[in-house]
Amino acid sequence: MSQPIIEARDLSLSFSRRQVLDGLSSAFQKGEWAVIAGRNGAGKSTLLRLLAGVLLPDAGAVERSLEAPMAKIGFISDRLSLFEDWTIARAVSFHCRVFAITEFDDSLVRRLGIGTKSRIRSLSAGERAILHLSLVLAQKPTLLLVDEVLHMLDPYIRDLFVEALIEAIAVRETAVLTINHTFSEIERLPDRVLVMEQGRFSVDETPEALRGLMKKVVSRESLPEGVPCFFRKTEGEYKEYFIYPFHEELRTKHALDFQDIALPEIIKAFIGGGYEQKRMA
Amino acid sequence: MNRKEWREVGRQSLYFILALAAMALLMMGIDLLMSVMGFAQAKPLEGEKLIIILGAWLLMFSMFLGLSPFAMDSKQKGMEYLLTLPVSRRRLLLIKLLPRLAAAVIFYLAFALLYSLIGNDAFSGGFAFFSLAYFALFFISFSLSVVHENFIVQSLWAGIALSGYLALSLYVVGLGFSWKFRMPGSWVVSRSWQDLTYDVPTLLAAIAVFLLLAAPFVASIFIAFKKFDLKPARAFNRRQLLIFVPLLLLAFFASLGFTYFVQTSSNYWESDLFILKNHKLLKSDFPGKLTLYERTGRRSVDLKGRILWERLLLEQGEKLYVSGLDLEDGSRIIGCLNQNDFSWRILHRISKSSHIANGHLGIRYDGAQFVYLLSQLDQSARPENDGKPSAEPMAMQLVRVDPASGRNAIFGFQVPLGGRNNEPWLMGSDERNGRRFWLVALRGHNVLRIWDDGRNEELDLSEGIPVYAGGLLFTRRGGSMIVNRLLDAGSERIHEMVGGYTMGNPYFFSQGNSQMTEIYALRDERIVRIDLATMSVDDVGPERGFLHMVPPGDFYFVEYESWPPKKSDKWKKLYRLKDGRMSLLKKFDFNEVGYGHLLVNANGVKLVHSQWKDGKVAKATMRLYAFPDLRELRFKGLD
Repeated sequence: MSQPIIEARDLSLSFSRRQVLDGLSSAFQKGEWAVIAGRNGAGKSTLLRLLAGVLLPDAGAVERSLEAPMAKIGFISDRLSLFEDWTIARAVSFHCRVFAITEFDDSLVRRLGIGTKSRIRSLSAGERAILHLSLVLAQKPTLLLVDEVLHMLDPYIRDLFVEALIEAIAVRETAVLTINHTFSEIERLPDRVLVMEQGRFSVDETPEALRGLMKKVVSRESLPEGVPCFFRKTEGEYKEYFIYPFHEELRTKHALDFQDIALPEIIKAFIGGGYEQKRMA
Repeated sequence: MNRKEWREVGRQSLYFILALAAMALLMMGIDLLMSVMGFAQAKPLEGEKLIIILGAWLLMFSMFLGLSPFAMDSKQKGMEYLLTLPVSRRRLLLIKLLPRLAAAVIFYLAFALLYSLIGNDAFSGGFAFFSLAYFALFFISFSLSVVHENFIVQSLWAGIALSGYLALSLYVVGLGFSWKFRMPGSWVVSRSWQDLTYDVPTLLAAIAVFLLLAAPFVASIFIAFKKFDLKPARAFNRRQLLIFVPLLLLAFFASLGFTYFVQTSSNYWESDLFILKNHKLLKSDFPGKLTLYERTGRRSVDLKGRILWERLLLEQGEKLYVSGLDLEDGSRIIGCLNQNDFSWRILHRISKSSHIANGHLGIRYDGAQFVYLLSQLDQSARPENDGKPSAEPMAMQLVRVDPASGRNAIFGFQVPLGGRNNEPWLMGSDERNGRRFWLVALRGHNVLRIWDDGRNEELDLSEGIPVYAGGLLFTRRGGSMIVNRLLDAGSERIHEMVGGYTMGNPYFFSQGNSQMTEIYALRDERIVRIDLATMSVDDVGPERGFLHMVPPGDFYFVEYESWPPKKSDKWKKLYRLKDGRMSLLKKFDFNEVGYGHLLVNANGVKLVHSQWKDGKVAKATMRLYAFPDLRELRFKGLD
């Protein structure tokens, strides 16, 4: 494995008395698309902010490779933070000057038909997301950190956004870390899926491995002993059991219908399981 | 990034100038409206008034500049974006600081220029203090710029921090001084900033203290800001406070040490010289040392106490009576040094809680005993009424101290309350029918006569400074000089002289020498002689200086080269006034050694040379000349 572009080592962070990250460690490679999922308040956005440098850890460290200096890290937060009183032209000019950008590609912005004299506060969330993406892509980033913004976008802008990310990975081998709750649009794209729970990654797998590790059983009966159920959902008379971690021996031991499930449903199960664990705790 | 900050500061500065211009216009409009409506006379916006308003606005603006670095970013929801920029935290802070500091300096310089042009000393010598408060407020506000998100709360904290900072700085300057010299720190702290500029070591110490104590504010934000992030402000506050407190303690002890090493007592009357009879000299040194210089040599006595000498009260035979402050307990003493055996004893002690009217200058010798006025009332508790009469009378005591035994007698009486700058003073003493009396005056009130049997009575009202001479009381009323003869009870008016006479001052004290035949006064810029027998007034010469009355009844006139006097003057002339004639005694040249002040007493003349540099007294030296020939006194070992 090559040198990671960024690495989180034993990151811990708390806000007041609430521990948000608790010894979290992980590394991300060049050209890798990793999707981070988890229930609300699991610490996903906090992690991205730590990697972007807008938050600093109480303990642990964020190690950036030489290929990922601050100028080469693009961060789009869910707040879409920019100076709101500025016009687009001023924001672009400022961004280019500070990041020493010589060439700014405004095609994405132009495709939305936004005038450069428009003030940022007058833009819709989708338009701001595209502007923000254009700005960070102009940095020719080696690492792109994108918080949960896809759900704010209409299908047309969402496609534009995703296409731009794909292009960045293809052309520059940019490592992309996104936070997503809805996977339908990007189901086939990520190389890694990470699920956060209680300030750490509880799952860190490729999508293929994850599909193999989680199966669903729909039954009126309870599950027999020895079948690892991560999360259970009741639909009328039937119960849906999400089996994790699944292994092929279970098929031979138990006469159950272990169904393959799609990534969005797997993520949902992990999130639902997270809430259940929290309730139990 | 730099451009953004310069632009932001430029816009804020422009708003400030516009607001100021609008306010000036508004004030002019109000003035105009008032005059049109007949409420008041139309007055232009005077320079002094404008400067005061501008000064107040500038203080607010410096606070705003200091607090504003992140206010706009936060308001525009750009803080998160700001922290993703490829700029280190410290550089970011520096980028924020520099344009604001530049604006603060430019506005300050412009204000200083305006102040010198049209200010007319609007801050009454407090410009140094204003300057300090201005920059201190800027840096303190800057250090608090990320403490809290709420601008009003930040402003309140900045105000509190500034007050604390100024109080602590003044306290440290005083504490360092009192620590070194075992003197009350209030000696330094109570001195105005105007005075401080004359005292280079204390000024140096003050500057160092103010800088050292300001450093923790700036240093703590720069250190804490290294870990600035988007966590709630409370976390940053805690971190900054943890850095600030030890730095402040360090700065406190460093500044205390600095004041200890830098300050000197040289400007606190460390030493003084008093001319004695027979061409002798008494030198007083702080603390508690007296040295007698004679032709045959010198002798010293060190009293081992923290005594700050004030005045030579009396030379009587071999005995020298001096007053001083005992800094161990704050009391004032009258002591006696015997020139024969050089023995010393304290005759009389006045406790710190008692207030002597006019301080050590209020202690008189009435021809037989020392006498002074005392109030038990704390000076600070007295109401300020600018010298206007008050209905509330104040109980006072006249204390008389026997120089031989130190025994004292006390006479109680009451005076109307005066302002702090208008205390009752003893203006004379005399005897009538074998009974002694003393005259007490308070400007704008009746002159009181206090008898040695405890009686007291009101004599004539005086609107100006009254004078007692040759058994006559001169009072002023309605632009005339009224001459009263004192009777067994009360007084009778014997003469009225029309015209603006100026004679005497609150320190003019007459021992009631009935042999006195004349007094001298100023009238219409001329010196005039008043014959006490006939009340005839004779012109003596032009007023080009000051009159000096030396008890028991000698008059001198000091003529200045320029009138009004200038610092560039090169000489002064001393004349004796007698029988309406001015006799030149000596011309004092001080061209080579700085500006000279002449102080005349019964035994000679003290010439104090002040050398000026950058508007301050850089060095002061004394020369002494003894009567009758005014030969300069020089002694071996006395430079």
